[in-house]
Amino acid sequence: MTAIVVDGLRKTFGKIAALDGVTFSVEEREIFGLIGPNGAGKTTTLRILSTLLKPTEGSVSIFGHDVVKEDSEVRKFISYLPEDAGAYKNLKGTEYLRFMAEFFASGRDRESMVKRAAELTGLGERLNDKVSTYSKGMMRKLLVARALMMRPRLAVLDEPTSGLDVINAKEVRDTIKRFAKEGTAVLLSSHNMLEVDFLCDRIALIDRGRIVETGEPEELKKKYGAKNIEDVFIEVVS
Amino acid sequence: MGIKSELSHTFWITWKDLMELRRSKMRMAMMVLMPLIMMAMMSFMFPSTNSVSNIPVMMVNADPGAMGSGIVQALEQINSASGMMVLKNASSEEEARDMIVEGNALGAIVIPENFSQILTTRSSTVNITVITDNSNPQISQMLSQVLTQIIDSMGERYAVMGLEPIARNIGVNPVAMVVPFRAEAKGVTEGGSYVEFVIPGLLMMTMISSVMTGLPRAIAYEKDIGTMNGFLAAPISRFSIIGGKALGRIIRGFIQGILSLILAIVLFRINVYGNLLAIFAILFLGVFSFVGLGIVLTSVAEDEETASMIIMTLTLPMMFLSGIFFPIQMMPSFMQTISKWLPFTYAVDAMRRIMVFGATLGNVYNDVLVMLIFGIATLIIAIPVFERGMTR
Repeated sequence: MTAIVVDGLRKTFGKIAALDGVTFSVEEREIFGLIGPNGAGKTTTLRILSTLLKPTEGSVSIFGHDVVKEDSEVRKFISYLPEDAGAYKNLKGTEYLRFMAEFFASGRDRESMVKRAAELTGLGERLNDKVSTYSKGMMRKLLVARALMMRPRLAVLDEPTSGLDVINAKEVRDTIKRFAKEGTAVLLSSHNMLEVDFLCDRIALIDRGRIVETGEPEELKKKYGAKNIEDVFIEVVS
Repeated sequence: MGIKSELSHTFWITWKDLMELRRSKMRMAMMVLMPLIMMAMMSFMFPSTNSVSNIPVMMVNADPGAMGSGIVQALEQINSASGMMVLKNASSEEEARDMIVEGNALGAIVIPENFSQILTTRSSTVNITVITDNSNPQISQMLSQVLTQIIDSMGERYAVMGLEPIARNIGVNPVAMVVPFRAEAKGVTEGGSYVEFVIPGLLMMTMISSVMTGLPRAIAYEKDIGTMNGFLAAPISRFSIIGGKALGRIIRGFIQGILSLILAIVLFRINVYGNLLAIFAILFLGVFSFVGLGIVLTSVAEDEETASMIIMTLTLPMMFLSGIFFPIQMMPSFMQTISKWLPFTYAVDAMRRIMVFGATLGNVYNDVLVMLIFGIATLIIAIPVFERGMTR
């Protein structure tokens, strides 16, 4: 089943068109990357898919459910990690995970979700400390774990490795790959072209609210005779 | 999403908010300190006849006779018991006026030159002049009231003394001849200090502002630290989010309200005539009536700074116009009309009647009705506004 179908998506804020006819689709178990410069419309697209914004025109369906008409239903099987996400500084790491897990499961299911998240964070005993004592990287790992702990059918991740060092970023990328293999469709945005190359099955290049190219990273590199995705992007935009 | 899961999510969010509060020592300390400081400020700051002391007053006795000195002595004796004034001597009315103008005194008592002579001959009534610093209206009003009362009662006593022989001859009470009747003013209950006037309003304010100001701040806080979007994209109903937040704030406000009440009774010795259950019921009703408005503000405010600005603009005039600090009847008539349109006025009125008069909920049914209608009407508007505000 197709995980995401975005068709002719437009979103305006006053006179400014943040999205101007975006169309793409993502398959089940696929990792799809939305690549573009700042202000291209990546976050707006992800926020519409996560039911946080309403489109001005066009439609988005996730596993056959319309994000506007069936928003409550959509929220049951998606998970969204915003780029500027944070956690409650006065709660301990485990308390934060348990707090968020409660909205997806209860009792034993909730506890196994928290256990899974604890493993995903790799923070060990530090999960018993207050979040206010965490470094930026530790915080991001906690949040990635929070986003994946419920094994969502679709994970919408905005810059998932933002603020992480090379080793931690690789761990997170491996985790995302593993979850995709186990059945989660992933839609992510990233500035890091190397990460996109390594992680994504397919990508869409977005510029000024429009999708300017879509395809597999290798296929696009070949098409534009480029060494990497960065060169592809520059070639397409110029 | 079933009602059971919505309620469970609501309580879960409330629990998280309270847990965060418990972990923050500073916030916990402020929760206790805020009502204490507020109450102490209100109790000690405003002048009352009992609390005012050490007012510098000039004493001008221009009378060479014994009567003037007698009045000075009597005044000194009365003042030594209360300590309200610090009496200093001045040689003339001009010197006393200069002292007031220069800010060295707040009032003067002037006994005229011919005081003893007129009193002895009883040829006419003689005036003792009380001059006050009218650039300080509160103290001026209080001083002239107190001194006029003292001097008038001295005059009455003097008249009684003069009439005593005649009264004895005709077999009547000389006091009844001088003062045949008096006004006796008393309240429905005893007490009636400024603290007792202001505390019911402060209690309501503490509770209501916990929702009015606390709710928009709580949501703005979630937005600022980056947890709100994760919340909104999770399978939690908007009702649970706002309900959980509101409940957390109500509990905080209620704890502060109870603390304030205990402090008022223990530290400031106010008399509470009303039933505690009725007081709690009005506290909850007051909060309920403002939840809707709090949610609307929450939906409008984009961040914590905007939230604070909107709250200040709305709550400050509302606090003053609803009669917490000054009686509504003392305001100009157009302000009295505005105050009648503010639900806060009714919440404060109900609480004051219950606490000061011992009124029942039945006695304040008008206030209860206004709060209920306002609460329900704003909630009906607020829920869709919140839905729309969170998904733009």
